[in-house]
Amino acid sequence: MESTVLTTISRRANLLTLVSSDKCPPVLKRAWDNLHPRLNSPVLDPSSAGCSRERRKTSNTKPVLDGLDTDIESSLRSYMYEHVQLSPCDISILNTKRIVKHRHYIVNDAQYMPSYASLAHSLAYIRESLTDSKLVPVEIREIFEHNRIQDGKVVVESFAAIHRFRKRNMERKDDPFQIFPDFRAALYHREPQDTVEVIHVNQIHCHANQRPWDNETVVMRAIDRVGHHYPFYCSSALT
Amino acid sequence: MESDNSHPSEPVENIITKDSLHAIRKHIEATIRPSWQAHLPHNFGSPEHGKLKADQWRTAIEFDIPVSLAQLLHKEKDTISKVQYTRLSKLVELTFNLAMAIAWGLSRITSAHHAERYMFYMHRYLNGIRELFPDYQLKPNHHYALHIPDILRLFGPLHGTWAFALERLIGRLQKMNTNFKIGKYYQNLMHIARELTHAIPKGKWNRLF
Repeated sequence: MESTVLTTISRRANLLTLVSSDKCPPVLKRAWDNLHPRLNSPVLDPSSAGCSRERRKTSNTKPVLDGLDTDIESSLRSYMYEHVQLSPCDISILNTKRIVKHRHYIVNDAQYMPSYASLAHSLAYIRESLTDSKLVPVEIREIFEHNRIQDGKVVVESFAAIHRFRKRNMERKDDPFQIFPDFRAALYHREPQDTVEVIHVNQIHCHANQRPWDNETVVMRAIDRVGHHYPFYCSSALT
Repeated sequence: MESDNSHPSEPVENIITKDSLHAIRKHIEATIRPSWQAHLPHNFGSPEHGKLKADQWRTAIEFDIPVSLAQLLHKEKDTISKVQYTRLSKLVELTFNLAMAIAWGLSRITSAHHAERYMFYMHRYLNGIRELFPDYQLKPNHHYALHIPDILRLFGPLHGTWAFALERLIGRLQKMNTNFKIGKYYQNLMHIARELTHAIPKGKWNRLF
């Protein structure tokens, strides 16, 4: 009972954020060492549990108007060239300087966020394409809305800039998940690939669970409660 | 792997020691999950946290427990005896079978294939229990679990027929404070019910109105 009350108060006061900041008074940090074991820490800030990567913390959830990073911009141009079949002339005048960036975005009733806003909500499984059922784990770096003029009409579409996780090629004895393909978990490199890729937001399929396996590896599993559908997973999902 | 110095009849329950439980709790704490997914208590496995909710059990079995046991097996494979390793491997396999049965059974899209896969893994799970814990008496719920494929085929996905909503209502009613005295409203209802039971068999409808 006391533990529950303590956890609730700490969560409401955002105590975890305070003690992990540089501005936290030393006396609070000392008290935190005693208090921490008594708290249900995963509940305090779900998005920070197990997070080793640096990320900006922000409470602002409104979309912002900003320019795209260079690598995302280049990836967006590639996407437009491949999927929308814009002419090189149209691609060269694509507007990438005033982009609406979303702090959160809802796809199929689930909320996804860029990694700087919440790591837990940025880990997702995506489909390779809108018509493909193969699922791959990614970290969402940015979600943005893009306007373009195509055939004389304004087309507004939302995209996500993602980094894929690379699967670890381990022997069967070191990877217990290989013998349970229906469990749909697999081992991946801890850090996602550096290469950024732009996808349509509708390719985002579901959230993911992630847990460290060893220093360089994480185990990931899709939380797809809607359709545990065999073509997604039995064929080629975990490659 | 160490030489086999454990007694073959050593109970399998001893494989999950206090240290293992601490390790599992650390694993759970390090797991990254979206906020909508039910979180497990930090003292998971201790009686202090009370009964887990159904959603927490679901989280536990769909990811945390199977992965933790696999991690435990992976970590301790060089330190435990061969007999213990075999038992722990079987326990891990058993847990994965249950997790996969649940994943196929609780899918919101269902088909004959889902029902067949569910039954396949549930059979393997129940056979595994009988093999690993020969003295354990299976419960009626284990029998009910074998009828779920019929429900999937006849009535569709389980979320259409499961009793979570009613269970939640029962939970709320149980938590309500009461003086154990029947109120006027319920007294009237009971009076009507009593009148009905007397009047209907005798055809005395006029007594009611």
